Amino acid sequence: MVETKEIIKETECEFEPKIIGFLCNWCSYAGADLAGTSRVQYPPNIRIVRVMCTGRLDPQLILNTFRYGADGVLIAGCHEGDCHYIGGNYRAYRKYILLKEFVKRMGINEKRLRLEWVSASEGERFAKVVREMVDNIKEIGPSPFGVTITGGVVEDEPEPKI
Amino acid sequence: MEEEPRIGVFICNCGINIGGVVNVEEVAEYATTLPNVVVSRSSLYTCSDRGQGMIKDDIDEFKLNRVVVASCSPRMHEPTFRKVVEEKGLNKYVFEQANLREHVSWVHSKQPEEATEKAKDLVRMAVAKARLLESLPQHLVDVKGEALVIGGGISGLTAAKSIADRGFKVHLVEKTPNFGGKMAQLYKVYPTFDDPQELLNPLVENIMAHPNIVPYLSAEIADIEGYIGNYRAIIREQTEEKEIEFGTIIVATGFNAYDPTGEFNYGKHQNILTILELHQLMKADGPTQGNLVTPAEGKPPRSIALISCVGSRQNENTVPEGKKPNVYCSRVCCTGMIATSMEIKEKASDADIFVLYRDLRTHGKGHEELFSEFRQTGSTMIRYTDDLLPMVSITQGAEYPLSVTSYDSLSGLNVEIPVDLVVLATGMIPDDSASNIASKLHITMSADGFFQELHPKLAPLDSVTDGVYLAGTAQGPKDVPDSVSQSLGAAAKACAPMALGQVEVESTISVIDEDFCTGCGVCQGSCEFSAIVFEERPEGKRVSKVIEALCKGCGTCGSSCPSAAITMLHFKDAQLDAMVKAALSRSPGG
Repeated sequence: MVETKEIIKETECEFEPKIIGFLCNWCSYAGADLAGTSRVQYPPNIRIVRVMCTGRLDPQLILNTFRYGADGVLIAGCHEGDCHYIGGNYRAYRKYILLKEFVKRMGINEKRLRLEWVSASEGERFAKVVREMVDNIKEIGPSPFGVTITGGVVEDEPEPKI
Repeated sequence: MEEEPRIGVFICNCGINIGGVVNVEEVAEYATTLPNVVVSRSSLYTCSDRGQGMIKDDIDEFKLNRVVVASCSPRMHEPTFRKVVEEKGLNKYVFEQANLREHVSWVHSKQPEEATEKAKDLVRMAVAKARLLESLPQHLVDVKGEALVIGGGISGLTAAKSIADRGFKVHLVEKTPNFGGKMAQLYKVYPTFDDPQELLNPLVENIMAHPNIVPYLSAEIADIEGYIGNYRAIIREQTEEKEIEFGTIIVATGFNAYDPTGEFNYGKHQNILTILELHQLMKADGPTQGNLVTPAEGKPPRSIALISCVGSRQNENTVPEGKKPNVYCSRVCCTGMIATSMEIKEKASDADIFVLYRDLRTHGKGHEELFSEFRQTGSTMIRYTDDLLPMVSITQGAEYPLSVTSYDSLSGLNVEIPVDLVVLATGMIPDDSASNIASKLHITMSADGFFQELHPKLAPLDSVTDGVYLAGTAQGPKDVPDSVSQSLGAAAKACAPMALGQVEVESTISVIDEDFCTGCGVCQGSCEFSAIVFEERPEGKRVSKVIEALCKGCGTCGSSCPSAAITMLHFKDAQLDAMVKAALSRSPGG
């Protein structure tokens, strides 16, 4: 399915995607912290929301995040077998597979939703994931559900398609 | 019933760590425009006494009932600021932290404008969550007065004895058949030139006879589970298995010597040794009864080269292909190398000694003095550079079996030294067991593979998991005095919760609204800790119920409930939703 809705206005600003990152406290949030402690630089497009475990992520919350206009959503948790809560990350993975289908039906390019396992010692990798995501989403363009242009204003929320 | 939120926002400069990139004043000014924010200020260090005092004064003056601090990672100072609000009589869960350092200034240090905008977004998100924060009841758990110490080297032994001397029972688990670890393998320890056995033997005897210590040798941890105060493990000692329960854990798994195979022709000739192998050769109970002879010929060495920084301070260009460079300094090798050369001089006084080094770092009490002494011994110093490592070649039919060539940056000359013996001052790498222990205990390793402390300066003995503490070289390269100091500290840390008998654990657990619960049991299937059970209600309804003591607060059940009957406290749907909405909105209202 292809994004059809074209609500972005002509503007001279370069499109700067807004990405929401849901990071688990124990691995990926710590990994993002390590990127900081190691002074690894990455683009400032991500806003991180800390959760205790990726298993906590309600699919509804992810869908809402797109509905509110996020250009991308990153879910990052512990590597397989490393979950602080034994298997929360596997449960997150199952939901992710379903969500991929769902967002497509919402008319959202599935590349906007990404799940990665990032450990507490992978600061460099976290930065790499963000860099890649920003590049990919810049290619795809703004989300059909919102406009987030530097210095711009969010448009009125469109009604969700589902 | 609900009082109107009155939020105070405190933005930290963290010296210049945040303020050097983010326009902190602008962010503080911006925060005043956010809903329910009644005061917003910046300070140089919000975690300092002064910064904390400012928060406390404002809680009084502005009758704050929510506090947002925008500073470093909550993984670092959330406990600090929670304590501040608690001291003012507020519940610690009405505190929210935005991470402007690790997630902003340090990672966008060349983009001050974008960093400032991101900082505003993060503050807006934190305020949006703070408006919906709730006070939560305190949860206490009992702490069992027994400890598990993993590793029986100098660190583990020291920690075990220190805990046992305070009256707590200690389970001391060592994977090899003997206590003493790597220290026991050394000929001498420096700068004091002590025989390690003389130091270790009384300690080991004391451990074996201690009424509070249960020693396990040739043992491993087959299984471990639990949380601070209430751990349970299965220890496998040879063929026997024993189940034990304890409240705290000290990880003292130590180090391994770097394996230089593939470098300096190590492994290709018997006379190329690591420093640890040379020490074993010089020991009185070694293969030659302490006589220093070359392994190949069995003769006293006439000429010896020692090479420093083997496996330490490596870079991409000098590390053998396929190996990851160890960029860290192993800290003990410089002193070890020069002291060992002095020992060689004792045993083979006619031998010529060549010390090939990059930089000599003899820090520590008494180490620099030792270096001055070493300089009087007449050994030849050759300084190689980090991009031109010395080369060791095996000669055929020459008078000396080995030849070392190196560029000497002091004289600017290339030198070639014929030698009988080459000694590689190998660095430290984490013990093989480290990654297994890390995943079993849910503790983290830093990029170098050693266990990561909670904070490098303020919490060097804590792991990221409550009740698990780090001691000795498991945390990073260090010498015996530092290992002992750290072990005594870790032991004291482990004793604190055991002495108190109770600790407070997070109140962030799941709760089930029985009115919405349909008793389907999906949540029970999603809970890894079997913390949800069915309960029958008198009216014949079956509902799920959370056993609070078992709930770890991951929230997985909440996201699985088809009836939305489960609330994950402190990470409620509405709270996360508000954060996301705030992040994607430009209007202050969020």
